[in-house]
Amino acid sequence: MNRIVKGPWKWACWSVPLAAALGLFLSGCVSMYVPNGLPEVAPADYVKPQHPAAVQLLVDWTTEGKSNTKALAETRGEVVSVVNESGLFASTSRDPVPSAALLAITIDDSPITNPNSAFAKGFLTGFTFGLIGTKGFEGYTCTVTYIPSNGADKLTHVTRQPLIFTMGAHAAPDNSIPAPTLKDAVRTMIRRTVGNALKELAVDPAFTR
Amino acid sequence: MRFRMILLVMLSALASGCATTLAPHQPSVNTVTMLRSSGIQKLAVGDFKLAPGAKADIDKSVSARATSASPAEGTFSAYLKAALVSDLKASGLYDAGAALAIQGQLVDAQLDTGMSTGRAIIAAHFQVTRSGQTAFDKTLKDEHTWDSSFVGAIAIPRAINEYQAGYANLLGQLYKDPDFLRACRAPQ
Repeated sequence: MNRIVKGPWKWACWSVPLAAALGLFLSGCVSMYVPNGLPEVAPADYVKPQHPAAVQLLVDWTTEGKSNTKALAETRGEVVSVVNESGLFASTSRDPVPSAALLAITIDDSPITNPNSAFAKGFLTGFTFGLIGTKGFEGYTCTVTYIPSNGADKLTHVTRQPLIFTMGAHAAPDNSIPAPTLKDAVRTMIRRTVGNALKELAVDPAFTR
Repeated sequence: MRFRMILLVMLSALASGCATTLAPHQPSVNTVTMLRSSGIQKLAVGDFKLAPGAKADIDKSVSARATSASPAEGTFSAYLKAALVSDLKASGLYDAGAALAIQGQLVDAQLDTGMSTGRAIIAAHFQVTRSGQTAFDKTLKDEHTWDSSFVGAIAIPRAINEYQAGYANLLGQLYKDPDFLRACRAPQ
């Protein structure tokens, strides 16, 4: 049977006006930035194979390692666009292709809570953490896996890109560009992480063999 | 962390009292590679419906605090069927005219959002027939827990996501079941 837990409903009733007041007070005070690091990849930047082939494309989005179908539904189109624009494949399909070639792209979204952790260092090399108390960091890891045919070895390439959220009157973080909306920030993150992972795949000797 | 909490309290106002439609199931790379290497033959997918005696409301929607979620397919038994078809198609193992066919019944579906620990239970009965003869007949159940939160903006989407994951977990169990694999491979 499906159950509604009644305790939190009472909490939600008085929290709604509080949250609304906070929303009015704080609206417009949250800013988003995309740190520099991974460059944008233009279609001309990819080393294209002589004879691009069709590939089955699977896309997944995980939040802290667990599948997030809602986020995937909102971002899948952007990921597919980056793959199609790369020119590395003749076509992409959700269904299997005759060669059984498979390209799987997973983006994982995890908060960076400890700037001194090895996880954080993978994202934030070169950044200072003097203002860490007023910033939120979200880390995005893109894993691209290519299997050229049934039973073949997997080729895997991983890229990372953080997004920074600041609150209140703070100067923009160093080496970052502002994003007008969350959607713009996520779109930039997708294009950089997927694009750079595909660029690495394109020059992988096993990909072009 | 303080910043994240304030932002999430704001978002709680948006998260209460909503109705949402679940995003469609997406085959994962792990599922597809597992099915591709399983050696099973192509399957047709027959009827999926609510099991006799199961409560009708578990098939229509699920509640996470003040938010309700329902599948685009109309019922969760239809959602389970669509997820199975999606996995089989992505693996090249779906054939509407195959002699091997699978059908199922949704037996149970529960979601407890919790304040510190959430829990979901999904159970379904699966039957595989080969040219009309029963080759596999078993009820499988997925039960799993996760860290929840008193903050609705964290707990609600996480609970709905985990509830959906329960269906994927259940199908994953099916694909690994030795009796299912034996029933779906070519007869020796």
